[in-house]
Amino acid sequence: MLAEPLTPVQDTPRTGAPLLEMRGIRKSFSGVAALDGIDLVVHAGECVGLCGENGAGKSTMMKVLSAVYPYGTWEGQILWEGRELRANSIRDTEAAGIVIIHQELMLVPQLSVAENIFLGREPTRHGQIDFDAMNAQSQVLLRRLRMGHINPAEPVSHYGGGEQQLIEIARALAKNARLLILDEPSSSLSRSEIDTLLSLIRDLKESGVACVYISHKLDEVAAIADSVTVIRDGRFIGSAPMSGLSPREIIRMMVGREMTNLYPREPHEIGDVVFEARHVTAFSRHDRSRKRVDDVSFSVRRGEIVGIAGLVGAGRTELVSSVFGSYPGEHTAEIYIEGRKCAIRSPRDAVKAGICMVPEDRKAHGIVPGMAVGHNMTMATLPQFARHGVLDVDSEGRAIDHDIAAMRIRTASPALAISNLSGGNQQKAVISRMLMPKPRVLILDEPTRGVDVGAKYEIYRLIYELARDGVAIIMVSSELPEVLGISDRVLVIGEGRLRGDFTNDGLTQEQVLSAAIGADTSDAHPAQTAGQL
Amino acid sequence: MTSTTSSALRTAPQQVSTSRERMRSAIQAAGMLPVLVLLAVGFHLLGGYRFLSGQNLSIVAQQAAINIVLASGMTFVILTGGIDLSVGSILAASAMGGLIVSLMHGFGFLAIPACLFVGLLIGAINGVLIAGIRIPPFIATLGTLTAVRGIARLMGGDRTVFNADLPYAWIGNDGIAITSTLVIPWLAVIALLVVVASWFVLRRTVLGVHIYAVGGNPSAARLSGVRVGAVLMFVYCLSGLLAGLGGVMSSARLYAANGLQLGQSYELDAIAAVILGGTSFVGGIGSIWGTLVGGLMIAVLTNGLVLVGVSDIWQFIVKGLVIIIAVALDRFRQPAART
Repeated sequence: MLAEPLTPVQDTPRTGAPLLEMRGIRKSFSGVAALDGIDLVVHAGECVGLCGENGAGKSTMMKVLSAVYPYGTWEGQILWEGRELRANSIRDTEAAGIVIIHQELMLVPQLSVAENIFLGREPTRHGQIDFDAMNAQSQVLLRRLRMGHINPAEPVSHYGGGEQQLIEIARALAKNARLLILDEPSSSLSRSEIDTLLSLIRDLKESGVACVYISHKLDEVAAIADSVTVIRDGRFIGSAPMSGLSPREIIRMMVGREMTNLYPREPHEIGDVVFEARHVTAFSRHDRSRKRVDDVSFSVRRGEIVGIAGLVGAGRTELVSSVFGSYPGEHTAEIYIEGRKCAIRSPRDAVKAGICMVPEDRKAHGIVPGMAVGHNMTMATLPQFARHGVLDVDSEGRAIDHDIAAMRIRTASPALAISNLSGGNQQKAVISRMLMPKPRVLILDEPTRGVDVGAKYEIYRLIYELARDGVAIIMVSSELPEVLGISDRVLVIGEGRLRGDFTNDGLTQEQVLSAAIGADTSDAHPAQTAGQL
Repeated sequence: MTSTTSSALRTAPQQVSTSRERMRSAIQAAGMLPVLVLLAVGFHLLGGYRFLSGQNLSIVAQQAAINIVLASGMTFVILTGGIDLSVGSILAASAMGGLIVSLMHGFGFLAIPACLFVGLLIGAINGVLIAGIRIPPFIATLGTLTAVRGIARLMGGDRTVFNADLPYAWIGNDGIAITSTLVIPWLAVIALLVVVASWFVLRRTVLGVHIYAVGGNPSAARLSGVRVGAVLMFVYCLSGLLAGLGGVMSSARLYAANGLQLGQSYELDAIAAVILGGTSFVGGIGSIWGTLVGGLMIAVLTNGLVLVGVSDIWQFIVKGLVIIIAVALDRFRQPAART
């Protein structure tokens, strides 16, 4: 219990009108519904867990609530203390007392703790910042939050991720927050830091502050939430008090989706092991003591499609980029191609060894936006089309034309800058670039992100064609139906560790998600750690 | 339209966009060329019909040549998203080196190689600082700008080095005589050769595509197996080498070199030429032809303003304004595309 209430709890008794009521929220992006009639009710002093798969619409929902999407850009109604809230910007919602704490922390690391807490609302005296008052007020606030050990005058960068998270909460409370929205607050916290966070939220609840807790970690939701609201594919699935729910039931509500026949799954031959990664370990770039990937070993056979599933932040991208030699932080891995050990220190080494990767973020790591579609495709293999470094423009052009036709890349001309193409066609061009070296192992990191359904289908077909030709394929995807629809085998990564290795034979989303979350499930059948050399 | 088959309907918009695209890229390639022509005609009319005479044009070409050589190297550097502020100082140091060697008895023939070597060496130092130690290009070359200027002064004992019998003086003073009045100066020939060679490297070699890739998205280039460090090393070495060539050219014209004055603020003219030529300051987009036009524009302005009788002080103001206005117009032409 806090020494005194953080904010004057006004006359909003639990029995009366809810603090927040969102009714029938609809929001669409260029005709595609992201949210389709979602309800959310929060009472003062209550913590609501908001659950849903990656891409279910949780973040969109919170952006509607915090007016990142202003009133009028969505349909439905938001009632705040019984009155309709029509906010045009985050300023308006913060004035009302709704404060969102984003997944990525929004602190300025070089500024002091106090400066961060009062950023934009600095106390002044004679037009100058009153640092004494700022530090003193921060000190009082931090003590009330049982964070007395944090020195308000010290730069934020001196504190670790967990304490920074607490400082974010202090900043939110300094803005007189009545409703805190925490979006995946624990994704970069250690166990003990999470415990501190949860006990702080409990204190806040008692002083009347309400909270929406968004997390994949259902054990945390179970520990802190009074009720749970589940959304799936932008639709409202249900709300129920936590007391009547088990994590299994929540998982079932999260995934219970009918499988459409989007996946052109074809039988194909699976051969011997061609690729093996042993003891892949990767450390966080910012905190060397934290492992993002912790001693993961796996292997892939000729013509086998291995899906890598896991929640956002589980370490999937870190795992495959460590294998490819492109992980920016410290990492170690032993890579074997057809039983021979390969030293891979850079993507260049990997491509030479026969491993290619289509990176996750197409804009940041895939396309070279101002460059022609054609050069974007031949970039990794230019020396093939050159003698003594001089390009044979004709043979390069023939290869480009061939791949544009084969991959059905829709472009007016190979000389067009790639930024003019649609996301799906850009992605096909990037995939084509990584196929030109004729890899034995192809890593696809989120190959269908930001791609329309038609192009998705073509990418799936291409994956099967490659598998038939004997390429070993590793596909990272956040979309469980995609993983289950495409893969021969599914690896599940959770908190940097290999949590499951399943042959995809009657495998269900529940089993994969349970493994990813780390829940104990009795009916999952781990494969016989397939393909150990 | 109603009678066309469905397949024709499907292809039609694509053809339209192809021709529109061709049009767009033609305008983009032409870039500042219309402005250059306008400036030349304007100066001709205002300056008593002297500007477009054969004699004056060969002077303009001579004046433009050194800047175009430096700007060619600068184009490579800026295409990778970098900058080379040290070219003026490198030019001075290499000219000093060339003159000192030319005065050594029996070693005069090594003067030009000495110039080029000094340029390449300092360019390589820039390359190591930027690609190896990863100092931001602006800071690394700001450092060499200052340090190399000091070295250039040190080389001649802070005095002008003079050689009346400079073995390569013909480069700066002779040319190919077409008629009795029209002479194409060797300096202009060298500049043109540099531009053509640059075009070849940028557009017809593996290295060239890699330069555009590194400038356009270094991360994508690295993930595709491009040796980003080697590409950066190359462009700074080339910029240094071409600044060394600039040293040959300017010392050949003067029969002398002075570590303090030679090449002062040449880097700014070179950068201006590249920017006027439409090369994106963040890298990845641009062409060497644009740089040629940009370099000519600066030379036309300098020469034309003198011819029209504008005072020295106003020349600075007008040149500065023209650069700003020209690039501003360019932004209107293709909004949000450039920096």
